[in-house]
Formats: sequence, C-alpha cells, structure tokens
Amino acid sequence: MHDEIAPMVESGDRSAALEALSGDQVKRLAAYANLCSNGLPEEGQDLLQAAYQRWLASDVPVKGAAETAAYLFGAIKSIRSNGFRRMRSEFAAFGERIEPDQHDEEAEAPVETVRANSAAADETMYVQQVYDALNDPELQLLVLHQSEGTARKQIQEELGWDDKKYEAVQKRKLRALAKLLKEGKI
Amino acid sequence: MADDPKKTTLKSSILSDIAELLSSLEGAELDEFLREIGEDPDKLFQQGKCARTAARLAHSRRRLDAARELLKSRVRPNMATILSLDLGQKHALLAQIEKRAQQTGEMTLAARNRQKDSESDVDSFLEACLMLGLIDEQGNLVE
Repeated sequence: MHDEIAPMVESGDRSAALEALSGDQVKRLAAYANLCSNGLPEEGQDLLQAAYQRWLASDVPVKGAAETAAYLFGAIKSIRSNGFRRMRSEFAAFGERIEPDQHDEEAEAPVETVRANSAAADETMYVQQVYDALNDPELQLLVLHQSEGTARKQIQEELGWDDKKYEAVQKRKLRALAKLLKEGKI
Repeated sequence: MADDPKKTTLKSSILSDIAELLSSLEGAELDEFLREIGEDPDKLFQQGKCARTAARLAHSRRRLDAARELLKSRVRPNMATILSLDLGQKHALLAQIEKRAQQTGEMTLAARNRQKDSESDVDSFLEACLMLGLIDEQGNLVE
C-alpha cells in the first residue's frame, strides 16, 4: 500500500522538529532514557533512539519543541514498559538464570528459577528495595505512604508536614531516587 | 492481593516524577542536577545527537525496506498467453487495439504510432496495453 510509506516532506518536518529541540531538552531526554534503561537489556541510547524513531514514524502533528519533547518523554516511558512486560513474559515462560557473583569465591552454581507470576509480589519487593536504599527516615516514610497510594493531603496530616516541608522532602526524595536509579541500586 | 495491570507501580511513579523534575530544570541548574546524579551533561548532549542520527538512518532504512516490499508486491501482468500467440494473431490484436484507441481517444497518436517493427516491439506494446487495462491476459479487448 502506498500510504504505508510516509511522504518525504512530512518525514523531513518530523526530522526538523528533532533538530529544533534545545540543548537542555536533548540532555533531559538522554538522562531520562538512561534512568529508564535501568533493569533492561537495552542501553539508554537504544531507548532514546527507539523513541526518536517512534516520533519519526508517528502521525502526531508537529507543533513546538516542548510538544515534541513531551511526546519523546512519553515514548521512552512506553518503550520501557513494553520491555519490562516482554521480560516478565519471558521469565514466566522460560525461567530466569541468575549468575553468581564472579568475585565471590563462595558463590555456587547459577540459580535457575521460574519467576513467580505475581506483579504484586514484585512490587512489594521493589518497595522494600527502595525503602532500604534510601537510608533517610523522612524519605523512607514518604515513599512508604506514596507506595500505598495515600493522598498527599493525608500524608501531610499524618506526618504533620506543611506544604513547604512536603515539597522539600519530595524534591530531596526525587534527587536521591534519581541517583540510586543511575547507580543501578533500585 | 490480585495483580492489577492498570495499577501504577512505584517505579513507574518515580520515573514520572523524575520526568517532571527534569522538565522543571534548565541551564546551570539542570547541569548541576545531572552531575549530582552522576551524569555528564556534555556526554548526554552527545548521546542525544548520536541517538537522533541513528534514528534517522534506521527510519530511512525502514522506509526503503517498505518501498522494496511494495515493489515486490506489485504483481507483473501475466503475459504468457499473449506471448504464445503467433505474430499474425498479435498484429490482429494490435489492429483491434489501435482501432479502439482511435475511436475512444484513450491513447495518444505518438503512442499508437510508436515503432512496432520487430516481434519484441509488438510484445512490449501489448504488455503496456495489458498493464493499462486495454486488454486482458487472454488477449481480449477490455470493454
């Protein structure tokens, strides 16, 4: 079918929209792709490339650089989610082999396991992992409440935090989590 | 607890919040944050440019692949029956086509008068007529 091939002019417009991204926007997207690639076999650059390709192939109208960047942030996140879903399905079907730490002399043979088919169990383990990695009581409390889906107003009431305090802790928490993600600890 | 695929996971929520935080920072403040989490702003910029170039190339390749598939999918008309006609039958068919073309004006004079000296000229003219839908694969005029 002819219409399966995007016209060159339109493709050029979409390409120009990528060129129009500012230096800050490019850095934000690359940093975000790196953080999102954590836990996936793909590198951050692969995620970013896939997001750019999705943009080039899409028929979302070309508007300003802010809209293009917003699309790309969403695309990175969506590609990451698809990657995790694929991994979960593969683990559930074929099992997972966990290689022992090569530097650990007491380590035994690889462990082969079939992952429990429970997203809820995975989520609980992840919350625990984040809680332990944060190592700051205020940040831990906030994460715990948020992971239970508690509304901001209720968290503030329970912890006795005003808006300023909540926002300061939230900001500190995000910076700490971004660092932990980058280091591959969560 | 039952699995709910629509439930936002903690990691997904963390990533959304970080995207929001990143979007709120710019210039020196953004670079400072990036360094704080262990990134090099200049390398990130280069990484972004490389990914963009690679994406463009991959996109172009996919377009070419799609075009190649499209060309492959175009089935050439089956000329077997027409080619099997003897030269006299081919000329008779040509005469019918030219008569019809004169009546309907659907073929230019230049096209009607083009060289048809050799059998291969006749064959390629008949193939063009078949592709244009003037005749069918059996060598009959299309009404």
